Amino acid sequence: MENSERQGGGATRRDFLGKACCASACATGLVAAVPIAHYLKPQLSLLPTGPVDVGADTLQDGTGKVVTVGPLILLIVRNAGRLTAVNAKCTHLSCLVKWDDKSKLIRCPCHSATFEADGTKPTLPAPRSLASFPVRSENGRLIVVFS
Amino acid sequence: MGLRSWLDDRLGLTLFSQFNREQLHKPVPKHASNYAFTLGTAALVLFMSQVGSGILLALNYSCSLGDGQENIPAYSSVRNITFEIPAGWLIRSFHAWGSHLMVLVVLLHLFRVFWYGAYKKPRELTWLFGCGLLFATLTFGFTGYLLPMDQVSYWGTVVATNSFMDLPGLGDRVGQTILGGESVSGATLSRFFILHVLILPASLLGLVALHLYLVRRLGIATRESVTVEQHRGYENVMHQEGVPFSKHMFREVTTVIVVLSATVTLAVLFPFELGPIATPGETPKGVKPEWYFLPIYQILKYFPKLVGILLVNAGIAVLVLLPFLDRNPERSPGRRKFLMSAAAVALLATFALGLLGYLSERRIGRWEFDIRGVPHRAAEEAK
Amino acid sequence: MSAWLLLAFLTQERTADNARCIANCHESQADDWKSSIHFFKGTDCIGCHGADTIDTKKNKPHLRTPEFLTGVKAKWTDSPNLCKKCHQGVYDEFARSQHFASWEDDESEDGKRRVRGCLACHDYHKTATARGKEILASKEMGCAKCHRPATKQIAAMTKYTEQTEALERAIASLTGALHEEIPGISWTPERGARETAAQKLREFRTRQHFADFDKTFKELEKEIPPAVPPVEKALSAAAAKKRSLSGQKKLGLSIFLVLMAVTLLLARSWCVRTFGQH
Repeated sequence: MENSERQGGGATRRDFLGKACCASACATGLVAAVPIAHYLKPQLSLLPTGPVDVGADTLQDGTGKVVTVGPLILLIVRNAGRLTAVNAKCTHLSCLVKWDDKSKLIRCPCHSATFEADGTKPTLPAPRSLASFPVRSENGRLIVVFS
Repeated sequence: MGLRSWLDDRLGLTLFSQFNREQLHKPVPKHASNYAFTLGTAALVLFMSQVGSGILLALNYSCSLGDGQENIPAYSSVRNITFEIPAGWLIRSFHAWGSHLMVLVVLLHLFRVFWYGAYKKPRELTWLFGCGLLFATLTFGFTGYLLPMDQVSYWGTVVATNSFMDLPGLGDRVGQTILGGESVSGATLSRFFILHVLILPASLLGLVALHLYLVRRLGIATRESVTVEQHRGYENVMHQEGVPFSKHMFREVTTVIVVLSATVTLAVLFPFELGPIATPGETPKGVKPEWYFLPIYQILKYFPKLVGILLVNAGIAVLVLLPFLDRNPERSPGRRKFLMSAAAVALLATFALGLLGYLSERRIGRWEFDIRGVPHRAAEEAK
Repeated sequence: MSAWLLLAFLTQERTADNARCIANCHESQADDWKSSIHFFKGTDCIGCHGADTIDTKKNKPHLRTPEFLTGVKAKWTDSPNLCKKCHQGVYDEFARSQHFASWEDDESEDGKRRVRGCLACHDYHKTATARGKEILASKEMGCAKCHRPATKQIAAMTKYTEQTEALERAIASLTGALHEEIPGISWTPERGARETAAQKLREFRTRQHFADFDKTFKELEKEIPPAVPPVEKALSAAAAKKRSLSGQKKLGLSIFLVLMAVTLLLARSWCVRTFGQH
């Protein structure tokens, strides 16, 4: 009887050791995973703030140009003398939009969505307007203001 | 339970667990109950951790020479990893320390096998594959060393490749194939990177698989001589005098944990830094290869090129062909006194060469060591 | 553009020729030069004196008197025309100032100008940022040489010197702190702060050459102090980063090693209990 008791005790102690060991190993693994997770986190570039010089103002009336500011891509259009700047990624599937002077609309080449020059009034399949940013021309440079 | 039998029906898991149980309880010689016999496992664990850390590093490494002047993407990506990316310094230091430890452990494993005469019949192939693994490990070190493209790595590689480029006949061609050109360039970096990250890992995995298959098939060598082991039959010897491998298992587990802990500790306490960017126009003073190449590097300084290369190749040949050159059937070290003495001399000579290599072109206190490692009293106070 | 080319020309390494000037005859000047900022930045003997290098190569002392660059009279009163070859911005400020007008018009009977231009405050070999306190204390170079009494000048210069030296010290501490590259710490924002402050300091020092009490010194008095706090902030941020990393390392490694030790003990016990040991 003593034997079986000892054996029974031994088996559960072994079980316990096995489970405790697994738990400890998992805990160690988690601790090791923390720096690795930090390492793998994608490094998002910071959005700009305030007024940013995005390039020389060589825009003819009725044309648009695409500029990159950090992670953002913008379309700047001079339409009938007015300057507008919008996020150039179509709100449908992120194709880059273009200015179509014939129809005086921003047009997406992928699925023919259109927007007004200030990015508003999207037509299907675009679900939302394009984000727009204040823009001005100063000393021959285009200045976009981010907030 | 449900999942296990589902998988077993398809994958044949029970066969796998049966195999594991067999291997676990397979008898090994009594004398193998010793931490020295865990070195092989340690080497494998280190290799796997190198693969893991290497993959993480490769996610952020840019293998390009750029304009080779101010902007070298390889260097700036390693700089980015070391200083900007969170925990990048830790992963890089882990990988760097791991590489040194791996070479050390592989060498120690080689010494252990040599000491116990475990390379003799029928285990000659195991030794050959093991040598292949040693050369793969050293090549890993050599190719990985160039990748950060700082002054030390660039010039260390130039010096190392120059040592055999001057050879007449093939030396040139071989050198240029390795370098991908006439000197260390963008082509070299690409080649070394692909070797380090694709070709060598695949080769090493293949060699490890073959090596382990043979180890398991032929068993751990006994202390008996070749003839006695063969005559009695390995299985019989094990049946009578063997001890189940499982009784040795706790040592393997200990070694795995200790090795990983040591690597992490070294990485945290002694993180690797990054020297100045490689400038191909300006050689720094006293450029040397890594410690495991120092003996070869040093010996080539004492002899004319061809003689030096022949000596080194002869040494390597003796090492690789040892099972075929050593005709003594005895395994026990006490009964192989001649070979043990010769090996001791060779080892001592290698250490001495390594030390001379370390000291050469270095100033310690008032002593200035020249290129051959000969010390001279320094002429004047260095400005 | 030509100033830049000239600067490039002037700062080439011609150590062999310099070595000749120094080793053969001009040791005391060399000692002065070696303590100067010109030495630190690589502007050498030939950079200002020019020389016929053919003469020095033949190991003959220079056959002619030291020639300054073309267009400059070899008198030290003509210093602005020499120094402006590199220090254009400073010359522009000086040229707008009263000192310039006095300097230009000042031709006393014996041909020796009283206002010595740049050399009024900067030594010619020991060139360094003019140390205001030294100038004020000096009878040779002091404001009191021409301005009598020089109370206003001295007060303004003292204030300016205190403020710029405080800024300089802050920048030096920051530079020292950032010199140590520590794996795991990015000094990018702190480096940015240092560069901005160093740029400001250069600007302040250039503008000071306009030397107008009612305008420049009053402006500078207000503008210099606010440049110091960002540097101090960067310095404490750097120290905080170091402490934080050190703490993280200690904590992380301890936790990891403790867990590894626990796992090891448990695993060993489990193995030994399950399989026995040999």
